[in-house]
Amino acid sequence: MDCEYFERWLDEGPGETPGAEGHAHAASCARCGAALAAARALDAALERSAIAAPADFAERVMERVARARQARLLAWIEPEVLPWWVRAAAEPATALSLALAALVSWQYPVLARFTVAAFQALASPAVATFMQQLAAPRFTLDLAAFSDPFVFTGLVLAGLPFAWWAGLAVYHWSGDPQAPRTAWR
Amino acid sequence: MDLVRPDAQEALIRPLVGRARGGDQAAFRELVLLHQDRAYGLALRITRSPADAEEVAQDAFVRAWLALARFRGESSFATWLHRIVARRALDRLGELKARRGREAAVGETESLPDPLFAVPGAAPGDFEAATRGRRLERLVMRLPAAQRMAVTLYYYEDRSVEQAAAILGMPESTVKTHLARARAALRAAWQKEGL
Repeated sequence: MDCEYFERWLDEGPGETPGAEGHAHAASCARCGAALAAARALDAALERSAIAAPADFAERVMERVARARQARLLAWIEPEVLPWWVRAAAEPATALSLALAALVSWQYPVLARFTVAAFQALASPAVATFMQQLAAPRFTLDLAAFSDPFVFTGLVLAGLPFAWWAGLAVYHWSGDPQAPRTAWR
Repeated sequence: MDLVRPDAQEALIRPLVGRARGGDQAAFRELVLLHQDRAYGLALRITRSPADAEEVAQDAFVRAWLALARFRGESSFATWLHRIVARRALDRLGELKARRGREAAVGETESLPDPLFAVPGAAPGDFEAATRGRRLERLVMRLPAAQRMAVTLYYYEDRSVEQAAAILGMPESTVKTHLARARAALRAAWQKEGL
């Protein structure tokens, strides 16, 4: 056994045994003998060394646990806790969209009359003015269809999913940058 | 001082885990007391900052509490908890490196307060053993993060190479390599400092 092999064995760990040949080498080589003694002392020190948690560590953990328990109803903001579809359903934008869709389905005639009246009172003059300004010969796009309140309402409803998606994106983008991004399970 | 030995005391821990899963905070507090030193020590050896280590370890316990319902007992509670601590500490370390750079984190090693390091079995007046323990800790703290984690789990946590690999999400051969390199570096520094 040479010094290089002996040192390699030392670095393999305490579970490995050098055998009689290794011990004989350590006895005959002062450098490897010192290395063996250092390795044994190191192993002993590693076995004995430990770190103690700060005082009141457990109490502070339990305080946080109590707070976490109270806040668990809001746990949908924790990415790991609930499935994605639960968190998506809990988004305020989703709830608003569903409420609006239900209202439209349930009270469609009333809403339609209200929409027409509101559009005629507020939007129609503005749209007419806008259309007159766009009546230049070089602009041929016909926007008259947008003046129909039903088309207008339909476009708004069609845009709700995109609004929900954008709201979700902004929500995640504006989240705490220190929050964990790594799933640990 | 922490009394938990991962294999020997699992039978003691299992009923506590069962009660804690049912919402028993007293049982969970017992689990915290049994594991706090090792969890904090693992976090400290990874982050090298007492303040960050305490935050990481506490956060890991809270996450463990919230996720207890999903703990199926496929591994021991300690292994599961240490995996959470290690991942949280690595996340924290990544944030710190991004913010301050690695050199600043190394510099913090020198400011670690002495009372953090206790040497089990040492008599109150055993200054030599305490000094050696502190110096050894400082040597360990200077190792690269992967070697530090491998040494921490293998030596301080009494984990097998297989368990350390599972906790760190590395192949066993990689853990063995980290351990061998860490031992070589520690042994060289040990001899150099004449410990």
